[in-house]
Amino acid sequence: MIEKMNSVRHDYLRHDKKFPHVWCPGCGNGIVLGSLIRAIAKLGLEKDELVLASGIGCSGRMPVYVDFNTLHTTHGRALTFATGIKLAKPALTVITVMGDGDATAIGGNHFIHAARRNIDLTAIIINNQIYGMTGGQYSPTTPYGSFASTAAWGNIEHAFPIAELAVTAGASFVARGTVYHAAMLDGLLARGIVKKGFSVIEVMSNCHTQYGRRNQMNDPVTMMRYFNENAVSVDRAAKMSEEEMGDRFTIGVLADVDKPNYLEEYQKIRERAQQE
Amino acid sequence: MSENLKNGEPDNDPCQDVIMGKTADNDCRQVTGQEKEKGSRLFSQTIFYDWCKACGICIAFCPQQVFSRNEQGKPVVAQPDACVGCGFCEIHCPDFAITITECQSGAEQHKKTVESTEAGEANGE
Repeated sequence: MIEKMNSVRHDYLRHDKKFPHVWCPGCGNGIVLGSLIRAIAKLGLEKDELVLASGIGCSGRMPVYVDFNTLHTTHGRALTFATGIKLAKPALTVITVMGDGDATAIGGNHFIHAARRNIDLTAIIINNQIYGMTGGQYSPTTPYGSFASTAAWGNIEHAFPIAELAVTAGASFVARGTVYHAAMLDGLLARGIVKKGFSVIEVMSNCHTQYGRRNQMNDPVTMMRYFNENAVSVDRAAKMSEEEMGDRFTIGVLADVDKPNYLEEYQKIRERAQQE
Repeated sequence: MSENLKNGEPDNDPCQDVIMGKTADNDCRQVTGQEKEKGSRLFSQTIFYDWCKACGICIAFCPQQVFSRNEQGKPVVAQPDACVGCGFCEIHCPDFAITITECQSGAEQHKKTVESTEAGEANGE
């Protein structure tokens, strides 16, 4: 199995691009990319059937390194471009990868409305709790009291819980994983890709360069230990009191519902209109 | 992987050396008879130094302390036989720089070689 994983990984990477990749040493984006490749390989999807669209930010570099149909779009608009692709070519499997600032700040509206419409897309949101590429400004997911370059006295705003937001907005499949729990993440990504309807996978990732450095976690190992200690599975969290939970976050599948998706409904409308 | 590389033909792929494992750190040694009786499995650890950025995740999280750190901060295989093949380092390496493969016993290796030779001859004819 291990041997297979290795060969698989190199089958999907674009070796004519510059490797090693552009991300910082220990960056979680690389782990998410590896996980995504393993999930796709496990599902046996062809490279030509796949589209990977991204917005702007560190995570926006991800499509550069993989040998799928890829799209590097404008800030926050990965989902809008992906919606267009899916409607034009419904046979394609469309995956978007966004950062937390990309998906919930500038692209926040696109995100909630894509979830509401329930379009058959997979949105991977890499939540590193900060704007990493632009210099460590606080983002909508920076926890209350954390430090950032624009919150030198501590952040006075409260963080968006992305996964819970997606559940409320109406996504069909919502899950949260971390880069520490990478094997679990493979499964979550695979389930999200297979699911008909809008699926959101929030991945808690480490930005030790911008976030950790200002919050006493200035290396990837400390940040990954933090994820290990603070992640609580959904089942366990149900039995825990609010005090016990504290600042911890749940991981696992938060929502998995079957409901009509936008493409099916659109197809029905077309058929009805043609009959009349 | 490019088409040429799959067919085993040389091309100007800059990463060819890496894929072919020319930067391998620890060669697979054969499982001895005694070890085979005990049912112990051996793994070889390959590190692609060209891609490694010395983040230290593999060194810190290895449950068997297989790796030690060199002066650049990159991992060096210190105790190859301690590896249990959990694959934690491989799936958590952000730079795809580590590969863990299971070592085969002498008999298995011989069988594989014979099979590949036979297949090669069959194709040749």
